[in-house]
Amino acid sequence: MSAEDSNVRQVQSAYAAFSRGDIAGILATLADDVLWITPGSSAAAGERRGKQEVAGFFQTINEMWEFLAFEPRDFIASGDRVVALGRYDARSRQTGRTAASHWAMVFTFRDGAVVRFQEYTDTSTLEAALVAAMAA
Amino acid sequence: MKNRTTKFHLAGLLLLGVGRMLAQNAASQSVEAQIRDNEVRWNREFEQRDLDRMVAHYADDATMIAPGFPAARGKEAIRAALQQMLTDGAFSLKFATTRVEVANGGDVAWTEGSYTVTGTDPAAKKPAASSGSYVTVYRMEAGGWKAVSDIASPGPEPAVQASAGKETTSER
Repeated sequence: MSAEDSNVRQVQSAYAAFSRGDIAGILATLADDVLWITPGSSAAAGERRGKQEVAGFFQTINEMWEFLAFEPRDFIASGDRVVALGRYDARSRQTGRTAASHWAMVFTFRDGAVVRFQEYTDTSTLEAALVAAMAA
Repeated sequence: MKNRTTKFHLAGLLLLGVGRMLAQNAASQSVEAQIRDNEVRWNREFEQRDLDRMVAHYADDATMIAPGFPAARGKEAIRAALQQMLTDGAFSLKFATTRVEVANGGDVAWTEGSYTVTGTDPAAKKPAASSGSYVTVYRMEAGGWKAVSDIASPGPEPAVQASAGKETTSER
């Protein structure tokens, strides 16, 4: 198996772990010094460094959203990087409002582990669902 | 004699392998140059507010997500979204390619980069700028490279890592 194929398998394994709520399974694919970047201005947004902070990210996500669907669809590997394209539907636990978005997630690998993650998504739609709680 | 023949065969296979690698590398570099040129042109078209040319970069089934605007799926929805952006006289978008990746034997490519968008702040009623990063995935079609997924999000610029060796910024 090529390094690129192996990287795609790692990404698919992380998504499978996320789908079954296995955060330890996700963390197992990451390098100790992983940089984890999520966009926007919500509590989940920002830069996190290291597995412990990434575990905190998933805790925050779980407090904010109930995922109704999470569908990684395409995986494109090139050298030490994989970009995954997909979509998710989620319901805000605070407002009950749902939001859906297509997304792209870019994984960078070093020695078979994810050393950097960056998500691109529809922050306006997601944050509108959260802001509605504050307006209510 | 047999050993010598085997060595020739091995040397031939090695040369063939190296030749293929060099050819693939050259093809990737050529695609990278095309994609960078494409994004430079695209940036200029935003500056010129040339809607038709801006839309022509997208595949028929493309997805476009830009902060502050509804996500658009399909070329006509993308046209409508871009048209809406251009109704704001203060609107401008500048973006710079940070990285180009070529995959699937040269049929697929993707870029990461940073952007600054300016538009009229509805509350303050004056121009306001914001910045972030984007990832655009391209597919080779009959008409050239077309974006199938173009997602921009507020946040930091993509990684610049010493080991990667492909990060050069092209203003577009």
